[in-house]
Amino acid sequence: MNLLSRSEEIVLLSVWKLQGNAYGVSIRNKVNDDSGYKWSIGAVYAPLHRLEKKGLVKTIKGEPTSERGGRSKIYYKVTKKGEKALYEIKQVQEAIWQDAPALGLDES
Amino acid sequence: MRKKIPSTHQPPKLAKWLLSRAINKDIRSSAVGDFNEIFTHTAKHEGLFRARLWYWKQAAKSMPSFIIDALYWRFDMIRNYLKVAFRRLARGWSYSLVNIFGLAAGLATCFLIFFYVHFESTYDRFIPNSKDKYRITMEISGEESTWKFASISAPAAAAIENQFPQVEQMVRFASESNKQVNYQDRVFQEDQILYSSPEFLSFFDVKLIEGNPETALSRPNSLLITKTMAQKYFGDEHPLDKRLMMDDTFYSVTGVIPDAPTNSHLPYQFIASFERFEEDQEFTKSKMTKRDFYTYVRLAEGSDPHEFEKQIQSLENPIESPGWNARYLIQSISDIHLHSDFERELKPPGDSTSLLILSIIGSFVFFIACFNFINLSTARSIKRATEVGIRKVVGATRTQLIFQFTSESALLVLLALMAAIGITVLFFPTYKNLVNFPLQIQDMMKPVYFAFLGGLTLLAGLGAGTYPAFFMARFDPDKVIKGARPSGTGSLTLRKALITLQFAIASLLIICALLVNKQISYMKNQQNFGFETENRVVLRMGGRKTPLSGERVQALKDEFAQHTSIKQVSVSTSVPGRSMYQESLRKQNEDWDHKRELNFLGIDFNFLSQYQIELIAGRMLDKNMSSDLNRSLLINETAAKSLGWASPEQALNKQVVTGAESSSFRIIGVVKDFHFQGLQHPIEPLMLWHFLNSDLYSAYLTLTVETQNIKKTMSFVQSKWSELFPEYPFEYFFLDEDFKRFYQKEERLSQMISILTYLGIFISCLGLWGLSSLSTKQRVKEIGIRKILGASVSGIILLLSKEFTKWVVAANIIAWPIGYLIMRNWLQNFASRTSVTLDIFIISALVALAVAWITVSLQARKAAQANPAESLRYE
Repeated sequence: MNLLSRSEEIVLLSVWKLQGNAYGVSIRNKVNDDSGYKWSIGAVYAPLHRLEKKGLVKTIKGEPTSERGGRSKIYYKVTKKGEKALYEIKQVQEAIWQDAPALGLDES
Repeated sequence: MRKKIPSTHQPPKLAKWLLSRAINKDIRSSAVGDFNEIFTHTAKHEGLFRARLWYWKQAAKSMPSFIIDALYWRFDMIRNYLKVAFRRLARGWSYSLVNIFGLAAGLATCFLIFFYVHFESTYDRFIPNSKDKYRITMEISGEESTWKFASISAPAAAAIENQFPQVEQMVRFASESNKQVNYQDRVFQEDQILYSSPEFLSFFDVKLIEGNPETALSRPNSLLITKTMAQKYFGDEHPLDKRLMMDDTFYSVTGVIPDAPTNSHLPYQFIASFERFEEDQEFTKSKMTKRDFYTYVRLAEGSDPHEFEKQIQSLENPIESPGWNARYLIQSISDIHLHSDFERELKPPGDSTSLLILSIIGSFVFFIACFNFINLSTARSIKRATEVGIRKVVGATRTQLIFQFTSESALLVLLALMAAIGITVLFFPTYKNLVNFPLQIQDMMKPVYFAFLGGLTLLAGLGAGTYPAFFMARFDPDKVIKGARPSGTGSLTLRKALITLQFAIASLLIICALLVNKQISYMKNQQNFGFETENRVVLRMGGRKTPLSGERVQALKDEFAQHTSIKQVSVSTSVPGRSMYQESLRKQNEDWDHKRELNFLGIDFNFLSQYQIELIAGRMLDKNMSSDLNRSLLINETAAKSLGWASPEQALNKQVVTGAESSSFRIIGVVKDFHFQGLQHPIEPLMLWHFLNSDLYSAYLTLTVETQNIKKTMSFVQSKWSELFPEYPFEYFFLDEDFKRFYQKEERLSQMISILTYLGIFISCLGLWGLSSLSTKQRVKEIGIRKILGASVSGIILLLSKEFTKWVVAANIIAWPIGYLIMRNWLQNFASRTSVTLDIFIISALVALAVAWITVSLQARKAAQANPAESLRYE
């Protein structure tokens, strides 16, 4: 299996969750909300760029808007390969957590 | 579709530009758009200021990720560049080695010089508020000579504290050396003893390791000792409240202080309380002529030091002799080490001229190394013309090529840096001894030194690394692939200019080295001190209270005199090269207001003949005349002049009164001036008489020994010493060795310049070697044809060397006037100096030429001896 780094995994999953509306700002918001950490824009783009090069996401050019300084929104979409990768990750995650006894911290 | 955005909502331009430079172009548009979107949003809701702030903050936070991302995707190409770079390194390994080593040598030289220069020029900066602290000094000038003293009189110091409102703090201290200190059975002769008040500690930022700083110096007979001294006297015992005997007084140790900082103008081993001077009658009496208090003030912040200097002239004039003028001077505390040429300085001051010369030479060597790097790199680049052509054809842009070659240079520079650090560490101990540098290599681990290291390497990389890159990226692929010589390589203009400059610098170095050496040997040989120093062994007999003229000394003298290897023995209160006592003196018909301070030397009947000091008028001390024991006085020429006698003969038989015993003396003779303080210092007035009261003074015993069996003689001396003076430490030195101190500074400078000169010449030769190898390679075919037509090997060597000769000669023409000006300036530092002569310049030109010829002809010979059939085969 082609292992993804943790940041790649989080970004890929966020793109999936956002479905059609995944572009830089929304991905970052999603990631921030889900992880509870403040990610810098650069920290989102670096894994995103790698995911794109690996063919797990693809880009769709949107409309240029004035609030973006006349630049187009670039939407990201999870490819079939990306979906497969997510599925695998999910499988592995569940498998490795399955027989783990409850953590003491879970109570609270 | 594009709407016009209000200009007030533009994101910060610089930040935007930086961002777009850093972000990989695949994601640039998208990411910059995101920045914009959030910016616009923030501006709308939280105001423009916050939005701009956010933009900058976010840009800064994102930058590392973007840069790593950009590099990540360029890594494939970088890997290729690195591979090629290492292949180049390995293939022309001798070139690479020369290139890297040349630069490393230059860098290491600069590092080492910087360490020293920085250390010397930041003396006393550790003292808090050093910019408001001044030392009060004094200048005394007569018609012919001027003396500057680092210390002033005690009453003047006291007046300064009381009379001037801008003085916030005043500290004064006296200094003594050559005192005998003992604790139980441990007896040593000690120097660097200061007497001061409790403010000393806060003024000079002396922190106590043990003891209470508030009370440490306030009680009588209290003493602070350094850690080293505590170890020396008490070992592992607890030093507090121990009692040390200094000469005849008990002091109790009230604190331990760290050793005096190495970068302080103020050396000390002991700091004792002040009261000895307060009780001293002469201290309270107005005795303005005595100049033995080092006085420092801290002025109120913002007050004008020049104004203060003007004001203190109103203090009582300490000199009332006609023809002499005194003036108080103030000296910023941080200027003391480098800019002081005062008498009675506590630590030999540094020399700003030497530092300047070293810095200049250091940067010269650095330039030579950089030029060399440029020369060798461009010379080699010709061979890579085809590679450049192919890369261009395949689609490399100029920017990419520049990046590639710059990173190749960067790799070389980085390797050079590592080598330079290695060289620096390797040579540090040698260098430390050479310049007498009190620091360890560990002390160099400071940000300022690392910043210098990094900065200099960057400078070398930018200066020497980028030119070859731009040069190569310019090659025209159409021509170079066909095998034509790349444009811009035929003329060699830049490289010729650099070589000329290199040799100009090398010649300049040779000139400096020769002249500094000449000056030193001039000082050593051409002028003598006016007394004999060879084979004179001097024993230090201890401080006050040594029973100098007592029977035990006589017994010791007799014992020594009987030994066959010891030719002469004498006792005196000091010896040339060591500090002299001062005594006041007036003519019999004058009152005490006209007295002046003179150096004096108490001697026995043998002293003058043993030291071979010449007499120019009158007679020597005579053992058979009872008046010579306590009523006769000798003076030197300078003293005769300063006392107002036109000729030495006029001084004879005059009566004078001295302060020491308040007794009158008759001048029986005038001795020729001798340099009792070394050649750099002007000769001061001096009086000599037969010492009477030994209690007051320290003593030295001088032995004239035979060169043979010197070891045996010295062990005899030592055994007799411990037999007769078991309670006194045995210490001795050779007078000529002792006098070398006076040349140490110049000797060191000379050694440094010589080494740097060799280095400069060596690196220059590396550059010349590279350049000549290139130009001979370009002329291989020409040489082949010439040989076929009958040219001889020597003829061809001459042909190839001719051009370089031109450049070396041009270099010398540049170097001569500069060298002349620099060295004439440097020579102004010396009281007695040699002259700048033409032969120095001619020798430097010849050396430069010879070195250049040897380098070039090694290359040329190879080319000239090559078989023309080989070189012309492919035509």
